[in-house]
Amino acid sequence: MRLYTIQLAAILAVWLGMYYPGLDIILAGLFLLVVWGEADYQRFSWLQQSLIAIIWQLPALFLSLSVLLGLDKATDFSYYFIFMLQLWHTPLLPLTTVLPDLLQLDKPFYYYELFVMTPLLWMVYFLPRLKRLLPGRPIN
Amino acid sequence: MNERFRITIFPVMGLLLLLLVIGQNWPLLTENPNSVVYTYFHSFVSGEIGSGYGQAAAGEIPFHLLEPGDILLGGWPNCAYGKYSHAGLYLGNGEVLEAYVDYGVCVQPLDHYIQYSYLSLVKVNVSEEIKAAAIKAGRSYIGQTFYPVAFKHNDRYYNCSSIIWKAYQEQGINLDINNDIWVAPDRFGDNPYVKVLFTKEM
Repeated sequence: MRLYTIQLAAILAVWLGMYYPGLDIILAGLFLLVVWGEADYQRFSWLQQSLIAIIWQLPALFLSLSVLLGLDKATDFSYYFIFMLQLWHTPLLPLTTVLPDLLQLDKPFYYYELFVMTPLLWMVYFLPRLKRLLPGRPIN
Repeated sequence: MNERFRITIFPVMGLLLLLLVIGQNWPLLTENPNSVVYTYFHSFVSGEIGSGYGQAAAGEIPFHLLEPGDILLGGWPNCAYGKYSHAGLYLGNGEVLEAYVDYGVCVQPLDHYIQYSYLSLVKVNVSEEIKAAAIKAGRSYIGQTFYPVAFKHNDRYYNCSSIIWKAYQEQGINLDINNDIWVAPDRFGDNPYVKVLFTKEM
């Protein structure tokens, strides 16, 4: 619930931050720090943390897989799937706008980034745990 | 960064920014029925949230009337933000500058406009030099990020209408007489710089 609250509130805040150019980038960076912090403060088991990560990004997983597997085409609203995926990833979108505009396979680079944002968030969410596994750090 | 800060920072920032943006644009929301904010808010209340859907209108479309720099408007019934849901800047040679979530700002063929239920061909009454400069500016946005609710003055996010508005704004031509925070396609059919050449409906 904490991660859902953070994600949904960040969608609103980052979108409105776009009204003041530059603030959206700051909020996107803050979002990553908050996700990192969420992973660092609670000592869940691997299984618990994995379940939390999957449930947290379930909307993005569903939308990404629907688009990648073409399942969205079975509905009358196929256009809205990628649309909703982009809205879900609004908190990270500002970071894609500062990357070079590389055109690949007729689609812009940010389109492909929409599909890697969930793994990227998972990575941020699991890095503190991996950090704790480094030699000299306490292991729970 | 403690636990309480992490859970409250984005709700607080979201609320604060919402109040700021609404406060700065209060007249658009309450007093101007032509503003996209007013239109979308009232559509949302009546249950319409998307770009609508429907079938293509029958009949020939005189695309030959278009000159490079003119504007195409396409729409579906039940569109939440006006009669037209989509706009494109005609580039000439059967090409249109548009923006989609999966293609970003891109060039598309002209003939896909036959799919819309509502269609308008709009002439922009400015010199050829200004139109050419607007096209050049528009082409420079190709590959940029599409975001459906992009604020029009932001240089890193675009939608189909904001690329047209910005391309002309850079030439000193304001195609949004409402001075809205977003530009809706409808605005291009209703301002002193344009003349509607052709309209087709279902």
